Amino acid sequence: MKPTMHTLTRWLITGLLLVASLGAHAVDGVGLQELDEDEMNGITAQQGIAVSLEYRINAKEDGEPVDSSECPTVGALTGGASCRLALNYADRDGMWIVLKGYRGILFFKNVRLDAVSLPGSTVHRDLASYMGGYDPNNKPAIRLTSGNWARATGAGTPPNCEAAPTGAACRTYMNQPNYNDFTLALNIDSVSMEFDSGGTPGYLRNAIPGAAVSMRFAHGIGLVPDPDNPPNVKVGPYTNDPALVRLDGRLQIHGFGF
Amino acid sequence: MVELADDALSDATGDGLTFIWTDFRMLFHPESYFEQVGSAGSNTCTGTGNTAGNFNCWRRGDLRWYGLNASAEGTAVGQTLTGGVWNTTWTTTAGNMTQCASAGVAGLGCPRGGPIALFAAHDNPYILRVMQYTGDNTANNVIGNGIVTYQGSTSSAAWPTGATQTVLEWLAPTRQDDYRVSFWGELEVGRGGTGTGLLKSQTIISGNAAGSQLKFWKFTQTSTSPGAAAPYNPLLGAAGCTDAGCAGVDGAGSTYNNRTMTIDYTSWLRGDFRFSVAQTEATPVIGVPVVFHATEGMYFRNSEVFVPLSQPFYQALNLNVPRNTGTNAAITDGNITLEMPIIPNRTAVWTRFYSLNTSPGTGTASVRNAYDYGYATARSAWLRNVSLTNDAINYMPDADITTAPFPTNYPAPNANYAKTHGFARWGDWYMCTGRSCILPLDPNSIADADAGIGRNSWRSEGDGTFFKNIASYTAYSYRPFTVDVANDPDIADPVNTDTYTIIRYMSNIAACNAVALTNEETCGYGGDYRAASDFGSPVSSQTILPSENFWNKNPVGGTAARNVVVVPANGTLNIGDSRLEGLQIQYLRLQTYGSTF
Repeated sequence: MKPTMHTLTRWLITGLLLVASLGAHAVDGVGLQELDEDEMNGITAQQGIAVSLEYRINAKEDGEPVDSSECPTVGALTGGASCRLALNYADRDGMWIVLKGYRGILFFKNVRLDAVSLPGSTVHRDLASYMGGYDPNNKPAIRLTSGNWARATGAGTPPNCEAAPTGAACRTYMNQPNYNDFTLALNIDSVSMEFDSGGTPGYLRNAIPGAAVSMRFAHGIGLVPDPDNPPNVKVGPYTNDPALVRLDGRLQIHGFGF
Repeated sequence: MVELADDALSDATGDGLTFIWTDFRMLFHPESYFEQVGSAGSNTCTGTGNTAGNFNCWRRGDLRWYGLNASAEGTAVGQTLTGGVWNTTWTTTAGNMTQCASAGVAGLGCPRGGPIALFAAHDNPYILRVMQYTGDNTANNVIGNGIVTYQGSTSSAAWPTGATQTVLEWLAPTRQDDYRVSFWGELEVGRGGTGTGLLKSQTIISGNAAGSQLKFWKFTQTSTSPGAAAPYNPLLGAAGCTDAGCAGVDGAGSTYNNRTMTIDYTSWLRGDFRFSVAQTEATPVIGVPVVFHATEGMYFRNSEVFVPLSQPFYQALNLNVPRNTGTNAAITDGNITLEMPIIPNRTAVWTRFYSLNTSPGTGTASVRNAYDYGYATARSAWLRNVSLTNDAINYMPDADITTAPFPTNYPAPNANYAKTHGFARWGDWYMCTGRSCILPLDPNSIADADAGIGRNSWRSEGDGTFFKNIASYTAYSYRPFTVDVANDPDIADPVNTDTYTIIRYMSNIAACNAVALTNEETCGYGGDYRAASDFGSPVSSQTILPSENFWNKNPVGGTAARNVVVVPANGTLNIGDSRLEGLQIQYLRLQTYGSTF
């Protein structure tokens, strides 16, 4: 039996997730600049627009955690402990998954945004796919072009390597490391459950000192303070530098329907 | 640049969003990493080696994965570059990436490739959409479309009366280019304590994940069963609810509700896999990638693994906390579980979960209500997957071949069977070619076997599971036989005589009668490698515990001289193909213990 289709207007499962974010030094739109209409007109009619997006949570620009004074004392949470994220799911009353010491940076650089027509010929079409008989050929789509592809377009020599990247100069250019299309830092000192108790919600408690799991994305090596044996220093990947990522290619987004 | 007109936009009705990736490649810097951080535990080890301080204790472990990569298997289609310069690996000499062309077996020596031309094509893209799935009003013992709630409702009415729910879906293409995923691993042991160590590894996977699905919906387990008279124990049923467990999950008197966000993941992966640890550098340093040997490692080629980790709407992965077995009370030690609740003992649910055939074949008619009903269904499904003709016939008992045509004896299982049963296949598992597989009448040549055609040779690197080492070593296999359970007189089955398949694997061909079943005692059970003429060179003779002691019914005891394969340096040792079919998970729980310590 074929499942009935449902519209995007109800595309979130309701009532499942409640988020508590405390003392959030939350989101900084650093580097975004306002564009007036004249500027927009000058841009959108040409080659699309290029955007950079920086998203920071409880972190400074270099990935280091914000000062503890910026995470206000909330109840028993002092010394920066209120910079955390807590999740509570349906039918898990009084139980919170708490991400302690939670901070991160996501920085996309130079993403180009424009509109295109999808290709007009069949490539991987499969009638058993989820699109069924829908024909996407020549349909309009939003296109995001990132990284080296955004810079290396056209044909010939750098930066025009996209269409015919056969020259030695283009090979060299496209094969350069260029790990700078987006950077990502994520640090969670500990993840554990906390439970409501005596009127204090779980997300305000620190009853569990241990960590069910801890994780982070970062980069680099160097002489850094050894957290286990202060004030010693040691060589190791213990910095807070964001991970560096090269991202090639194009993402096209299209809405379809039967 | 194309202008989006109103009428063009109106083509997009919002039934789903497609995500089309072309020339896609994502490369983490080789020194950028994801880290799962450990912590100093209680009861830490205080010594190393065979000492008291190294027993029953814990060491801190830190895991890091460097340089995560998703790129093409090689040079991308339409982006041909001379010299294969897209293929690169790490080198410390230049602090940069260098070319490695098509190094290693099937390019598995090169961790990084070029852009993936069609990671997701415009006519077979990734899809984000919302669907409403519903039951089909079939009776409890009819499989239908397989959709049923944990409480056993198959109604097309909306929850809580019926089995209609809204689902958020992220769907992979059903066809996509193969691509390469690789990363370097680092296991740091015992930081800040005794017995410190460092192990570097490299993992390279070539293939794709077409057909994989990730869905989110709301689980349907509650303490009150819509349409049912009383709460129900999933293990014992209402009638059997006499022990303490009945007060627990979903049992009598329980108020346990599990209407929580659920993660529904179906993994479907195919391709080649290589895991290696041999480095070309002497002293590994934390945080610095190393150069790995181009071929050393453990390989799985032509793998395909399909694992459905949930079923709408009665099985799924739920976040939870550890709970007391008897009372179901939450254990507040801070740990987290990821759990698939047990399949409930409700006919409407397990009928769909097992998806058993309603009428196995005439030759096995008595199986229909027997304990091995599931086996008969799985075999039927597998045979139909293999072929309806020659290959399948080799696995059919005589009665089924002579009394009725194949489709009657082996009816195709309900389509729901393929949704609820996973499989894992390593290699193409070349089918046997003779009746009961006693002897391949035309054994494939060594050259064919080396190339992965037919059964794998011991040195084949074209298919299956194999190992490559840097140094030479000898190998010997105690090869077991596959037994026909029902026909084995030691395991009497009064009902299903001649029901099951005999599968034997040959080793000592010359001593074997090709078709006589009576020779099974001496034919094809274990045994040693034969001369170079059968297996290629080289072989050597070594005194070892003979295979007869292990597997044969005629143990001879002692030791004996046996031919062993001399695997040359950088050579290959292939241990063959294998399959797991009919994979099902009735219950699964992953639990952290870290916050306890």
